[in-house]
Amino acid sequence: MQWNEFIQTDHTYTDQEWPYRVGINQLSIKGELKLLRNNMPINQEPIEVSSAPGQARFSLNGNSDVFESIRMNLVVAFSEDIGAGYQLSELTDRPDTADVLIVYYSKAARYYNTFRKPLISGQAVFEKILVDRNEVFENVVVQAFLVLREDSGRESDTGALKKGSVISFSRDIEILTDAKHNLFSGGINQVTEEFSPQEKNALYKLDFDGETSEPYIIWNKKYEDVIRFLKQPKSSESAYYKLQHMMLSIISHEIMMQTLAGVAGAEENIEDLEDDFVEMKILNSSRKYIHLTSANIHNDIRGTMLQLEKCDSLTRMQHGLKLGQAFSQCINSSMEEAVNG
Amino acid sequence: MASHQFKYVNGFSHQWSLFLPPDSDFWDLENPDAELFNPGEHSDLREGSMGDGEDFDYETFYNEFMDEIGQHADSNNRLLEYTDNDAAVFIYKYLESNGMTARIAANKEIWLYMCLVHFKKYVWMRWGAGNYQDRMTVNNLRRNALARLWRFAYLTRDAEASDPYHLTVFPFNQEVWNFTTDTILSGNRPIWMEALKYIKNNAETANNNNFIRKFLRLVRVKNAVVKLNTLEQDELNDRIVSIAVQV
Repeated sequence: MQWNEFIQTDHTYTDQEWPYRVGINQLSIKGELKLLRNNMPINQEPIEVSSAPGQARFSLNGNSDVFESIRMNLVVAFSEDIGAGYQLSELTDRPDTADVLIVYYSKAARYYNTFRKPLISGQAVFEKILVDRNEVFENVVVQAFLVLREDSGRESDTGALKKGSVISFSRDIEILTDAKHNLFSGGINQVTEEFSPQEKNALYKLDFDGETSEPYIIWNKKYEDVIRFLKQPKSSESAYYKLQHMMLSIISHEIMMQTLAGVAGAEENIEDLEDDFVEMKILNSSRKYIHLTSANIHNDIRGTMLQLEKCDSLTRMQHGLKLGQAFSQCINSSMEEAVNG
Repeated sequence: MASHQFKYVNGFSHQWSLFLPPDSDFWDLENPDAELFNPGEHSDLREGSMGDGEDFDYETFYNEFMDEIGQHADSNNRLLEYTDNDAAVFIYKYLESNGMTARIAANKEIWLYMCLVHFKKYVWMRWGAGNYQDRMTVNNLRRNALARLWRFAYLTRDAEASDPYHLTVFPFNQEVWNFTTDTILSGNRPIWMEALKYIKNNAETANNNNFIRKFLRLVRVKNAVVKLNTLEQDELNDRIVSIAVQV
């Protein structure tokens, strides 16, 4: 949704450059989300969100299939010290007429909505933006723009600095709202191609996102080099991907250990898990890809990953073990099912 | 608005060809009634549903739809392009009054189920040999025979007009259909309404492939630089007209 994405989708304008000075990423969004059901918050604790680099994706902590709406309270601030580093007066002759525009949209359901507030003392406060669950599907993306309320003196042929011109924008925030019913990525897809020679040691193949643009993850039989990315993520430097990498190493190590050892007493927990792990089935004897894409699996893991950023290594390990156990129980029960019937 | 549950078959969109291989009689064009798809016969498939309330009655929906649209069939029993507009309005109105929301409609498998189990004959009548299989399935949801109709109506519905579907029923060039279903601009309602109204009001010069392509591209680029929906209605209109003049 950033300006260049609009243009990138249209090949005619790939080379077009921004026609005037813009404070790239000089807006920041901070705030909190509350998930509502029957107009009452589900959790007392709000989910904090921020557009700071590397933490732009937020999970709904396992509530992604029970909420009816999201209420967002957001503060958008313009800072001279981040992003492109322009002063507001460098971007426009009329800083007093700058408005903050919050845009949120849901790609899959084609929903788009905007809210506008004046920029006062460098910030704008948006209270109670309500996102109706019925309008959105898959992830909700929120981005802030700084636009002009009136024409500015420095006008040019490109229409720059006229009313509505974007003079700065923020990174976008992505709220991961995938639900159990997400049929784009839910359930298991069994891909029938053989493993390629490079991947012949792989035991499981996970598509962690259900979106083809996201990295595929090979879950390797040798757990010394457990995880490999098939496709390099867009920004391999980002903390998110490093964390994901580390997290998966922990989980997969644990799963392998548990699977090899066999999990005693798994049965009593399987019922609890069934709701989350719809359509689990493991068949690996024929050396085919097994493609797990349960939406809840990755939501929970993402939620944990986000929390993990603030944790010490011991807590990280504990989270990893917990998730690893959940995985291995599912895999074990599915294997039994496959063997027995 | 009554709320209903919309049934689908879980996990099917990725692997329909395991159950309906491309050489199956199901795809036989000469005789669309020859083999119907019954998900219940396949123990590997599991049915699910989205929404609340009673089960949505697909059978009645199909029959009423064909009563409405089937009468436009030509002598070869084919439905031509122009029937899309009425079909879109019918499908949107009917499903909306039964509780269809954008969130439900964004599911591939809802549409896949509808096409394979109930709307086979319609898809055959509308799309014929060339695109039949593609339009039945949801490898590309935007082009699915039914999903595209719903989405077009959803994105062209002008809630503020006395007839909310005046844009949906207008015989736009198919390029507008493609822009509506394929680009994100159509999700931005104020701009999209103005752009469509311009094309409609200047149909003689504007309702053709060439103009639409250039015009809508420019609108999209402009919106990246200037957030058009911050403008008042008449300013937005002026801006759209000035873009059109550039084309």
